[in-house]
Amino acid sequence: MSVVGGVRPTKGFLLEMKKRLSFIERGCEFLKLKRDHLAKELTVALDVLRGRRSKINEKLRDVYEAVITAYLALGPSEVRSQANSIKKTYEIEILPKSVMGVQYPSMKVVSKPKIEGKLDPVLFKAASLMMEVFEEILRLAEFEARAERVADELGKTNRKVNALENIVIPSYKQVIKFIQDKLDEEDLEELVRTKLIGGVIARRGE
Amino acid sequence: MRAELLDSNTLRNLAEARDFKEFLEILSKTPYGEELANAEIDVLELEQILNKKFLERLNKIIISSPKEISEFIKDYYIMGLEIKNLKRILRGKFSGMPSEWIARSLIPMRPYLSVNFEELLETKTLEEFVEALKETAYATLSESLRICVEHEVLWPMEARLNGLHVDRIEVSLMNLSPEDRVIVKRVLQTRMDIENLLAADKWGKEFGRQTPPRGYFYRIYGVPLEVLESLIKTRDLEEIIKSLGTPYYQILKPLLEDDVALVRRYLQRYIYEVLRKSKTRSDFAFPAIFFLLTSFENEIENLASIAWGKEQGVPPKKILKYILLPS
Repeated sequence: MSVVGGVRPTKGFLLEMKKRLSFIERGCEFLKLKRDHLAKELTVALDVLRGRRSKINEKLRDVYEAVITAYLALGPSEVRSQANSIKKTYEIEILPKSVMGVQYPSMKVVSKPKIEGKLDPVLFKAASLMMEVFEEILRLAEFEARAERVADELGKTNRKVNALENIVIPSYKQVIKFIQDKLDEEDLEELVRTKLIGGVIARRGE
Repeated sequence: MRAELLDSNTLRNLAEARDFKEFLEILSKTPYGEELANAEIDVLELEQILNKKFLERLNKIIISSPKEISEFIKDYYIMGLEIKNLKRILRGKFSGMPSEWIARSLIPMRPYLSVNFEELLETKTLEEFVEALKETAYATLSESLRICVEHEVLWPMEARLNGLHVDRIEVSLMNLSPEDRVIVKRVLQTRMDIENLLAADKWGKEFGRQTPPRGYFYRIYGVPLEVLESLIKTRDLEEIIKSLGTPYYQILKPLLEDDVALVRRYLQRYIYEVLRKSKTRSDFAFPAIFFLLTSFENEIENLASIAWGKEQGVPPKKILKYILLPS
């Protein structure tokens, strides 16, 4: 905002500017609160994600071993044939959820494949491990999307707070000071004029 | 024909090959080499070639064996392969797979018990599939259709197919000599008992402690139903398999670490050793023939597993853990 251009050094304008500054400062406080909450949310999310990712990697190794064992034990044609007996695939619904005003996709498993009563025990083990880890990957993906959007919003909020604190509020204060100074100057001039005229009138009266 | 069997060194070399290409190069120097004219085959095509080779060997032995033995071999092995094909078609029809996809997985064989594979592949639904088997030895499959459709499971029909196979084997068994019957019964009983115990363990994992319905264990042999139900209810695996004694305890021990594949390998090893020791009577008698065919069957399964492992870059140690090396 330009410091002097467009500024009317009047009492009315000064009051208007003071009102605006107060509003902006209150808004800045709310944004700081939002920033702090988002930062806390992000820290918790990152701690959880770190742990979950490494657990899922371990589980994926178990799944991989189980699948290899199934293929070695049953042969590739038999594994494919048994896998063919599974009718449904996963049906997933993606719904929007919100935290601190930040929207992120939330995944809901509507239906999953039914593997009971169809597979050889060796293949059943691989399939049930795979389904477990798949649902954990979905939860992880949801959590990661949430963390990403929270981080994004945190960045935006932080930039807004910085802009308000370092640019907007100081420039408003500068304008207010300018107007204040101008008005004080005028008051002083008025006072001096009044005193001078008073002195002249008093001298004429003598 | 015994000379055609691969020894453990050759199988080990195959398992330790650098990749699938080297595996095929080593295999081409064995009796399977003449089938590998086209070097650009994949694992599924190789599996079909191995199955064809096994069927050729089966047919040679059937032609040259006495009638009672050849009837038994047909019922034990050829019906077994036919049932494998029926299960593959059944699974495909259950889930609505296209016929071409199902056809690719079928073992290339001539039908045995008046089954028409092309006709079965053309059926559109499970109901039509069962209807098409009406005039065959598998007609009773229709009795399990309702449960399969209602509960969306396949085990009732697969159990019934297994039951029909065992029934047939038990009938043709009666034509063998008493000594040969003892050997086959021992093999059959051990196999059925172990599979029943694995099925009980699996039921417990899938459905909790509820008792399975009638027909889930299509045949009870040495291990009584009470033991199987106790395994499902108590889930006290270690106690139960310890109580079964030798050889079941040794065969089932990997189940304590949930390694069903290794249980099957131990079972295969046990059966192999039983047949190997029983064939000392004569090289041309039934035990020797049964041992030879079982060895061929193990061999093609081993080769398919090794081939897949090589294609996928599985370490040799892992492959060797799950295949049966001959003594």
